[in-house]
Amino acid sequence: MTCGDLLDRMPVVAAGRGSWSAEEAAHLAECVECREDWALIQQARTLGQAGERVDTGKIQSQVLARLAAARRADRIRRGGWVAGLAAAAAVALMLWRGNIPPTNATGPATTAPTVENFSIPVAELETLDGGQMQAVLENLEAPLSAGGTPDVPNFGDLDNEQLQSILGSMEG
Amino acid sequence: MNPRPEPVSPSDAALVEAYRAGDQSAATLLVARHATPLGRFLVSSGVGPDEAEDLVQEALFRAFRRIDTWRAEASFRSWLFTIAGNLVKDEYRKRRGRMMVSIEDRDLADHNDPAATLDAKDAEERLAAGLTRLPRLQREVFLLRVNGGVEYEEIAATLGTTPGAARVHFHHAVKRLKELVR
Repeated sequence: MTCGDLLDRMPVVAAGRGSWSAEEAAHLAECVECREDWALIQQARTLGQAGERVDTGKIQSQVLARLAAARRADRIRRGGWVAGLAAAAAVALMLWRGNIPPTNATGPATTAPTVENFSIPVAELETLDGGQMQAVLENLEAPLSAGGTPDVPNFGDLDNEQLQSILGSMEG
Repeated sequence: MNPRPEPVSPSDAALVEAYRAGDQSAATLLVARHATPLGRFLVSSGVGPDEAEDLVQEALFRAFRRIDTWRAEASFRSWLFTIAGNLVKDEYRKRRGRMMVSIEDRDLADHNDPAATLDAKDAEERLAAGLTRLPRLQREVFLLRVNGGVEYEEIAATLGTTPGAARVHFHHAVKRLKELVR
């Protein structure tokens, strides 16, 4: 048996989980180095004794309470993700179907413009007197000028080739 | 008539499995089993006794939060000690290198001889200071071996080294501490 073998056994004996054999005890009695090692191991164990005062019951309840709180937080976090994913999926579905609801849900529902309800704003006719009203009516009934509106080109005098050329330029 | 057999307490591995399966009472048993050795380990590592309780709680909380990472290759206790060792290291870093040694609060042997008491106190102070001066691996091997009674094979699995290397670290630590304590 060597000093090293004895040193390996010291923590076991110091912890009370074993005892010295006769050979080990004899070596320890004779070897100064080993006695110093043994004293150090015992001292190191003494050093940790203050740590044995921890209140195990208190630690148990605090650890379990913290774990329960952490689990709750995990669930909420997971729930948030699920709700977020569901909302994103719903938006994606609506976009795909082209069925986006109005952004202002509380306001009046808007109707898509149709031919029936399409109107051009006109001046307030109620404020016009009889003469003025007649003038408006005559103006409306009058035929459009022969030349058409000045910003609309008159293509009537163009031959087929010219017309084809215009169409070609329009199509790019 | 045969005496009634002693009830066999479940192993750490069985309790961990039960906890993973949702049995909260398994955590209670594990805390009861390991809180005191953990406190001893932390105080030996240089943590003041007043702070040890908070760190024991923190180490256990962290362990249960990442319980899925524990592989039964190393014992549950040595795994806990590793987590606690990391906490001590973090605290040490936060305090910019000042350890939390509080010798006044330590339990000292009850000596009637004031001179002997002072000597013991002095020796403890030197040992505590010496432990903080050891390289981390040497210190952890020493504390696992002395306070946890952990075998070299287990220490090796916990600290990611070989049993032979763990043994060398332990022997070096003892030699170095003897020089520092003298």
